[in-house]
Amino acid sequence: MAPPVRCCVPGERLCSLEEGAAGSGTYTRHGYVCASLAGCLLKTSEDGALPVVSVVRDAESQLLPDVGAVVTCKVCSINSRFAKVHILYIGSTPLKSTFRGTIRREDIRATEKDKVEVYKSFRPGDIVLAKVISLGDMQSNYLLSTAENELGVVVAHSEAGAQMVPISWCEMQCPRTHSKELRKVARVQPEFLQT
Amino acid sequence: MASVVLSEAEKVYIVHGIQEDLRVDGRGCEDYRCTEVETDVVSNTSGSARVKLGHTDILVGVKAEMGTPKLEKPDEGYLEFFVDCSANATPEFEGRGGEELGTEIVNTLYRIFSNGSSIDLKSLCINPREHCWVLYVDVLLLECGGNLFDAISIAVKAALFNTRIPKVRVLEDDEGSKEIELSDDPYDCIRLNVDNVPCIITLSKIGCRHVVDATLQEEACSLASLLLSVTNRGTLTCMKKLGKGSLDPESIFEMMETGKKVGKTLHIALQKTLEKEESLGTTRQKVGFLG
Amino acid sequence: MPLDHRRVPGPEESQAPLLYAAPGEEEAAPGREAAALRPLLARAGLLSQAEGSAYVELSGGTKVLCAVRGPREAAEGRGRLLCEFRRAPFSSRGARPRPGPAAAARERELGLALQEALAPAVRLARYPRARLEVTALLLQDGGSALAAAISAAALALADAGVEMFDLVVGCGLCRAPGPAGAWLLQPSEAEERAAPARLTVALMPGLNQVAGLLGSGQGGPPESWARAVRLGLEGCQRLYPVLRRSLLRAAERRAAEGPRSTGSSA
Repeated sequence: MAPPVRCCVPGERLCSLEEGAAGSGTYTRHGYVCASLAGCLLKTSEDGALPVVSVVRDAESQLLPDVGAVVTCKVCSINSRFAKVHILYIGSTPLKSTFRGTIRREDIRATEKDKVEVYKSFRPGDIVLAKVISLGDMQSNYLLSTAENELGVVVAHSEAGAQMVPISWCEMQCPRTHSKELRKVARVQPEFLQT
Repeated sequence: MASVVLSEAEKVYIVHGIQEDLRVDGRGCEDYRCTEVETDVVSNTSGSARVKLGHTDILVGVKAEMGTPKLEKPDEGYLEFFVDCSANATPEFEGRGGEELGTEIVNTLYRIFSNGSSIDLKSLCINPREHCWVLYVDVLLLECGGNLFDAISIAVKAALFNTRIPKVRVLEDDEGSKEIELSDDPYDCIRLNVDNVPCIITLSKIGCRHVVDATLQEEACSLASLLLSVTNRGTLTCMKKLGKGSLDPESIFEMMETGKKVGKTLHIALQKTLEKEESLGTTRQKVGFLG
Repeated sequence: MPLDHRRVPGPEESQAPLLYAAPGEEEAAPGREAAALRPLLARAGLLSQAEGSAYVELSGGTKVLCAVRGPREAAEGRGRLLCEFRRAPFSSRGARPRPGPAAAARERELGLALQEALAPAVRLARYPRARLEVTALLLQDGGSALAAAISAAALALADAGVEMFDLVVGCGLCRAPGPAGAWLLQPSEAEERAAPARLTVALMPGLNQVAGLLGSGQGGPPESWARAVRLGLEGCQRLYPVLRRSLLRAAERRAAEGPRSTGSSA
């Protein structure tokens, strides 16, 4: 049986800064670590270092796309300059409501940026892994990039409607008609392949 | 609210100055900017006033119209407030931008005038349950330069002071039907007693101190302010926290004391100005809008 | 106004029954201790569709239900906290209020007051480009409605897992009629109606900061208002443990439910 966990509410003082460092779900004020979430207290100590105090909620609280996060999104429209996507997952956490994002033409590939064409990289309906590079300004929404080998299209359907198989870094093939379509294909890391 | 963009260094400069009781324009923490008040500026109203407080410019017009009293207060007239945040004042008000601020100002004005003590509403009644005067108070923001609430309350008070409502008599014939007769003499009118109309004092918390009559730049440095409505006797009739920040309890008590002190002086100065202007009568040189 | 055919049309002109009520009919409220608090019931996490929710009831009839939705994608760039205050049509005494601009303006004012009281407590900087929606629904108005709504909204925000600096506790006050009336904590609806001055304070108890303050009326000189604020803050401090307990209970309930639900799916 695990020892009874201490629960706390926002604003509660957890410990002084000498006793622990502020982790997630906490903030520091006047030399104290205070809780900013309602949940259970968690202390993780690495040997030698200060224990990190954090507050965790069992119900996965809503994450927001942050700069640097790898997100899973669905392409909803493309034009010659950018692709518009809906962000569905952050890492492996599903979002409760979708956020809109944009992948600009120059952020699709890391090399030969000037030769990239959006319609040769994405099609509406594709599931794409991308990285958040900026929260955008007042007018635009999240800016995403697929300029890494591990990022790009992971699931795509051919014109015949069958799910295609990647055959190279820029091509996918339909198993039914054997026609080839151009995509910015992601080399999916083994840890994401769980099925 | 109209906003200005300040860099961190500018903010620090302002905050440190206020710490030393010295503001960017040379005032102390409890000083108002030079205020200009002119009444009777618009001829089509029952009463009007224009107040210029630094770069804040407010025009208030009062129109008296006949209406029916409210059911729950059959022997009283009432006031209606409207605020127009025109895009002249700041570009942010364009379209629906000023709506939220407008609602907030209107609500605050209703809150201040809803209690019976600020104005004698019974004097606005013509005959109970049937006719009363309704005062439509229209506030126009011509220019926003910080501290809107205080300027508006001064302008409203001045306009109400200036308001002249024609005298009417109710005649009743034998069958009980009533007729309203307007007095022939245009100078035969009733005036409102505005002695108890409060003024709003907004105290903005900047750093550890609070200032009255903050400019736009100072408002950008302040996270929270306290709005107080102070009568000429120094009593408070309304208090409200404005802004995104919080205040610590002790500073609220200090702010209330300051508000009382500043409010009393403001009332005395305003009353003196209004009376002086009144005594000049028709010989007064009108300044108008280009002055 | 469009005619509603489902209802029996009443006479075109009508008078409120209050007009015919003899004045002074209502008996004076029995004397009570000024600093007495009404028992408060709070429950967090009861609506399934909202990210967070809370219900606060003051004994004597004030019932507020509050839901938090979000964070959702915001139309404009920065994070925003949007608060709405709604009264159920049957919430108050007397005739059903006519929906119209006057009623909407009153609700908007209370919504803005709610927003101003909650804004200092929410860490909005953690929610860039997102919008948090708080809806408080007043089911029954038995006095101190805004204060109850503030407490309920703070609970709902915490229940939704929104990052906050502190909880917010609201407390209502009113001044007893008479020249030297004392301030009463958490007035009932009848006391509120008869009161010459009313005040709502909101406190962040952990940080000891006043998050919201809204009051008006003939409350007298600043000293009297200061007394009221002090009394109100004390009341908030006394209410805090109740709200805290309800939140902890909700967290424990979630913790107890959490492993089971994942266990069954595995």
